[in-house]
Amino acid sequence: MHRWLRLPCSSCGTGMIFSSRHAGRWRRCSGCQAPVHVPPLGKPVASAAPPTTRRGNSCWRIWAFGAVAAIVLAPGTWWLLHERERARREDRANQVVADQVAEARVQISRQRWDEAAALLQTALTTDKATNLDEARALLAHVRGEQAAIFFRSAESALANRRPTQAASLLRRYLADPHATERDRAVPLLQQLDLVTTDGEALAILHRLSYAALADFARNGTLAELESVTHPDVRAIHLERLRSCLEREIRRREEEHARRVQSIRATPAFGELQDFVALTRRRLAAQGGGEINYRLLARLFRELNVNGADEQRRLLGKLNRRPLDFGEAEKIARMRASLKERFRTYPEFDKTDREIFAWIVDQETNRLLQDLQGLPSGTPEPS
Amino acid sequence: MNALANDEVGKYVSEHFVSSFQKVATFRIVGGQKQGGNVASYFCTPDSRVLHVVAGPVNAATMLRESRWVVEAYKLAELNGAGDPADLAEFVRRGHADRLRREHALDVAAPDVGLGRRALSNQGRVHLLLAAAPLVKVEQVYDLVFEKILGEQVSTSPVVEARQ
Repeated sequence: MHRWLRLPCSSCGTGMIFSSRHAGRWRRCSGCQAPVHVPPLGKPVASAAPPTTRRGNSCWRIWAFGAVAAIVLAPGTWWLLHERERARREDRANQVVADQVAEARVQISRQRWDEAAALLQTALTTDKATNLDEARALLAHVRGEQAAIFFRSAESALANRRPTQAASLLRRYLADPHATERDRAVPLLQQLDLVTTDGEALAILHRLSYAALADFARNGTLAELESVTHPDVRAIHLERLRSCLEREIRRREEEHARRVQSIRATPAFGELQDFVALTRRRLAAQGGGEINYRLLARLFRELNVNGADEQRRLLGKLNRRPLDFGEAEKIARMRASLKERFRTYPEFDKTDREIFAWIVDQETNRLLQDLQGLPSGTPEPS
Repeated sequence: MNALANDEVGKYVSEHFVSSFQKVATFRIVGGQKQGGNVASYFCTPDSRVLHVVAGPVNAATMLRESRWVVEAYKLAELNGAGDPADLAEFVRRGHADRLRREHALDVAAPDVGLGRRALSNQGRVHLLLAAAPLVKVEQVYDLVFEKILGEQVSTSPVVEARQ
């Protein structure tokens, strides 16, 4: 039969009960785990620390521990519950967003951009929703497409030759922050703005030289339109410029006639006329007989000269006179002298001088041709 | 048929013209005899305007007759006061037209200019040419006469001399 030994812990004072068979051994305190020596049997046990105080401390600690636990655990529990509720609401909101995104995709596939945009905007304003990245990306795409509609409509308007509408659509496109093809739209609008009214077209034609205007009338080419690369815009501008071409030509003709009238009243022009008439009379006196084309045609038939080229060659040879260098020099000197004289008239500007030079060149070139007997306006043999 | 070797022709031509010769095509000389080629005689004014052409080789009588016609026609033109080149040209035109009518039965005044008639002789073609373009310069007309009327080819190739 064992006897029981009651001992307090030397560290925490907790009372412990040991069996007599543990006598003389070391055990651990059940309270603080400190090593406790159980005295051998027959030896007196040293008195322990006052137990009353130790018991009081332990109680206080338990109460303190309980209070801390209550303070910590209550908000934690509340927080856990709250988090769980919030997660549930978030899931519900994300589900709503996902549904609206799916519906928006359907609308996008039907190219109903406005409906899709409305759905996506609603989705983005959904309370508590967190998975909004897809909706945001999709909305940006839809906005881009909505803007692109303006650009495509502008191109369509250009193809249908409606420049005003095209310009307006391009401006709306460029004003849209979601426009992605600005690098194409900006130059297109610039090209379109080059000629927007008849007044601007007339101003362009007005600036052209006579040679450039004639070139435009003949070939439709214009250096001013070289920067216009879009074929529809180019076609629109050419159409507008062509519609104004006749007006510009008429204006120039009237202006030219006015200038020629005043040029004709100058002594230099009178001198040109006298020189031409006298030279022509002198040439007529020097030359041989006129060609009788009726007889020449009979001769060609007789000689089997039937090809037009060969007939022209033979006719040119019969008509030609050896160049009289003395006469040619006189003509060249008179040409330079008359132009020089005209330059001294202060009332005429550069254009007048050009017109006068052109008249002088025309007349003197004709004289030189006559001098050589070249067929300038002579009728062809039948 | 060397008309120019005839004394009478030579005398007349020397008396009224300054003679000159220009080779415009080639021919062969075999055993001292000329083979191929052709000849055209031009009667011109001092400034080389053609009054008349004799196309091809002719006998002395023909050459003399044609030379006389040119001289007489020119004198008649002077007598008629054709001092102006245009007047002289008109006179020459009428002269050739007259010969066309008399010798080749071609009336240049007719509206159809003898269309459908048989072909003219080479001399008739010369008259037609000079009626169509009187007083034309010799350099303007020699190749047409040589190539189109005489059917020869103008060439600068030298004469080939070969032994028989």
